[in-house]
Amino acid sequence: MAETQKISVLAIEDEPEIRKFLAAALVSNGFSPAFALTGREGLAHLKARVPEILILDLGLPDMDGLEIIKSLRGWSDIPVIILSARGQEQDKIAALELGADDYLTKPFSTGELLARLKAALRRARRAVAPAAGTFTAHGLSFDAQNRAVKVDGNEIRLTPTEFRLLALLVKHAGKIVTHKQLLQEVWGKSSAENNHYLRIYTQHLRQKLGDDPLHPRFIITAPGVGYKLNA
Amino acid sequence: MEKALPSRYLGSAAVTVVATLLAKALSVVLNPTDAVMIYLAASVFVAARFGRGPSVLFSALSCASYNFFFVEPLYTFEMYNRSSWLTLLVMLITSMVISGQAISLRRQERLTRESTVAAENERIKNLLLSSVSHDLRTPLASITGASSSLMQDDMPEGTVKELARSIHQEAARLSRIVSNLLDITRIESGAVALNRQPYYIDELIGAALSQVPEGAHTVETRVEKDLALVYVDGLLIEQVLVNLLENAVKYAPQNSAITLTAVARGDEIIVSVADAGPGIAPGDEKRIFEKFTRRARDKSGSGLGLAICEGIIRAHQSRIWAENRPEGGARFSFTLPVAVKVSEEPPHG
Repeated sequence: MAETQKISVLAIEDEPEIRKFLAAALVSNGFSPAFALTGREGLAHLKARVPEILILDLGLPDMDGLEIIKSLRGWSDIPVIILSARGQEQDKIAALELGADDYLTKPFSTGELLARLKAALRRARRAVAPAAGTFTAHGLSFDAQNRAVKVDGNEIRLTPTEFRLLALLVKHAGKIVTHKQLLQEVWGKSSAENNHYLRIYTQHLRQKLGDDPLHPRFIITAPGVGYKLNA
Repeated sequence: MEKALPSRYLGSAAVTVVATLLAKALSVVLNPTDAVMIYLAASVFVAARFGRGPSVLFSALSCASYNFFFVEPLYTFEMYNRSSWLTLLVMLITSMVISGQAISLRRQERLTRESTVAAENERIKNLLLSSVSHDLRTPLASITGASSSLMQDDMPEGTVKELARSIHQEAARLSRIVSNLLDITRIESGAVALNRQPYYIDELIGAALSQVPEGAHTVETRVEKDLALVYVDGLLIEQVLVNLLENAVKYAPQNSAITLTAVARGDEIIVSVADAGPGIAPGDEKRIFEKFTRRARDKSGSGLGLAICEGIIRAHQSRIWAENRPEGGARFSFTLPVAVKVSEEPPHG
């Protein structure tokens, strides 16, 4: 890796075989991993020394992984990658809403894990960088200050709602924003159940951006979970 | 279905009344003793329909009614004639014997039916066991073999890579089989609670396409413009699409096109996935949706993909079917319900 400094990562995982493979993958890819076997141990570690990124298994023996995200968010914004079993859809959504960045469904490969880690770290660095409010990727450029949206250099005119929707996706670019988060932040609290608003406006937004939902370039659909802006 | 006991006794009494009225009506043209025949016929019906207890009640009631309505002196329980006693006795015995026969026939029939169902369940269970154990053992054997080779010293670099790749591949296969088994079990036990939301079908198709490696195939999409929102569990419908696409990829010849279409038909949307493969053997159009049914060339599948699709679509009260295309290849189609008309415009245009 280009960085001279190794990236510190904490993995809270109770399965010894998963820890073993995580350790091998992380060490050989420029990370400096630490491990916690239980939720309590993990929280203690997080309080003592915040790593640059957290890998968290939702199925811990001693406590609900969601509790860990909730309390961590009280003092730190580090990226959190969730490991979950298949079928834990509701837990995944809850974790995203509590502030987790991404999730991996077991079983997953080293390649997938590293890709998610790198993407989450990239996002975290961008959020800290001064260029906040602007975004450029895959031919889409977004400037919050000047309310300017361009696709391949062409100006796109958006309605206020479409703009708010895109702005929220840009704010979390590369990360899935859940249906509930989108509805609440774009339309307000009372709209949390009105999923069809979201569908209709996402469709309008996609049409204006020239984004084909069949082969999306900008807005990625995560059925049952939410939408993600391709970063 | 067996009715509750009291209603069966009531039924038996009701039949007595009907038989009596009928016999009385016919008594103008028939001998009084012929009424016995009507009662006996009715007793067969009561025994077959209501079982032992009500049948005994019927025998008693019918004898009493016969005595009361048909034996001189009429409308009393007395009798002038000795032979009337005999008629009554024979009637009682015959009626009891007939009921006994009818009841045992009925029980035998039920036992046969139960044992047929039990045998069918047993057959399915065995099929499941043998299929699952074969499906699980094959990748397990490869993984055990390859990983034990990796533990030996002095493996050439190339071989190590190859063995690792085969472990990865077989583990992925194992994982797919286990997921499929869990899915089909969940679907069949009715444990799936649909998380229905409005979706545009093109979004779900897009999500499914991103999950299926096209390989040497191209997927052509023909989605009608301005399709209404469908009201479905998006994650499950995505899975149906993924299963159908993977199936098509598996059977379609190299470099052939797979066509995915979505069109509106009344208040439904019909989605189809068509391939240019060998098609479905005639007569198998329904059977391929059953568990552990593989098409001839398929050795890798768990035989559960289409059964899962069928289960998911059925949970949506929709239909899924397969057919051969006139130009060759198979086409799988399913319907989805259009969302109930929602308020036209969301607030804050």
